[in-house]
Amino acid sequence: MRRLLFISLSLSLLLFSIFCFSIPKDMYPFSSHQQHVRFINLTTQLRCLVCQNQNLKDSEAPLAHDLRAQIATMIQHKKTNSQIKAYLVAHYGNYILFKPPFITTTYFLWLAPIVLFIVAIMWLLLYIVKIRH
Amino acid sequence: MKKVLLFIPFLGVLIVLSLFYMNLKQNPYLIPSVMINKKVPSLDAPLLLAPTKHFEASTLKGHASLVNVFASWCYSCLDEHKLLMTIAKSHQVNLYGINYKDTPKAAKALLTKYGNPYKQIISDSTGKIGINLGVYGTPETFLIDKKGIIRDKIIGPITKTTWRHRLLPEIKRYQ
Repeated sequence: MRRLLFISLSLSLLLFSIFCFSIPKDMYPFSSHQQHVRFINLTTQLRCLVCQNQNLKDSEAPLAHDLRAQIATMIQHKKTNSQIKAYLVAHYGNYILFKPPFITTTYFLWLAPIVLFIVAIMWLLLYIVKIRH
Repeated sequence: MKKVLLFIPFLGVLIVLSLFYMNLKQNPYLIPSVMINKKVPSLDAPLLLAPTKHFEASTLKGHASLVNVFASWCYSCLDEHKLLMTIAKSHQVNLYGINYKDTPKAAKALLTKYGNPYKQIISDSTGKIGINLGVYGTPETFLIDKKGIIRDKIIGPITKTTWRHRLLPEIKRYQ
């Protein structure tokens, strides 16, 4: 009885080994481990335009698949990260970057926290001075 | 005076909230195209109905054209197909198609069933031309002027209103 249970359980577990034949998608032949790391880093920093809060690395959208292939090809052709980003921005705009660039339209976005922080500190200092007197 | 100053935080909150409210009406799925006012990128790919020939860049020169990105798997493309047929019959603009990430067989079946509004159809089975144009969904329609510069892009199906009040005046302007 126990032996039968053992066999049945073993067979069930064996079924899971079927998945070892599944081939991972998007395997790009990079010449070095470093290139692969760059690919992962880049695709994490870029936004998928179809599923907008997902990055290109995780997105299953067909466009994300195409863009990953494009990025992989560019890495294989020894393009630098900034060249690849510039290419994508030229076609899809800054929208594709998760981190907005520091340009005229984003000065407020980048500087406002620093300015507000300085104002708050000055306000606090003035308040302390006032209390002391 | 001091009492008035106390209302500054309330005013601040009011400004922030009204900004939030104003942005509620924006559609986050409409990503502004950076391709507008730029030269049309290479559309060099085989033609769907004559695969031995390639699309010539010179085709777009000398007149305003509409380039419509479509696919047989795209349901909202079917929504605008009837209007595209009307536009083609009106002879007011040259309409070209880009068959995006599709199989020639499925695309041809669609054209047989619903009619072919396009002067020429570029077959972009890999989506490479789509990337060059900054396409992120179908349908998308580009308005290209007589010098080959992109002047507008409609994301999603064209409606009668967009055709009459947006595209038609632009076509007349860039003709």
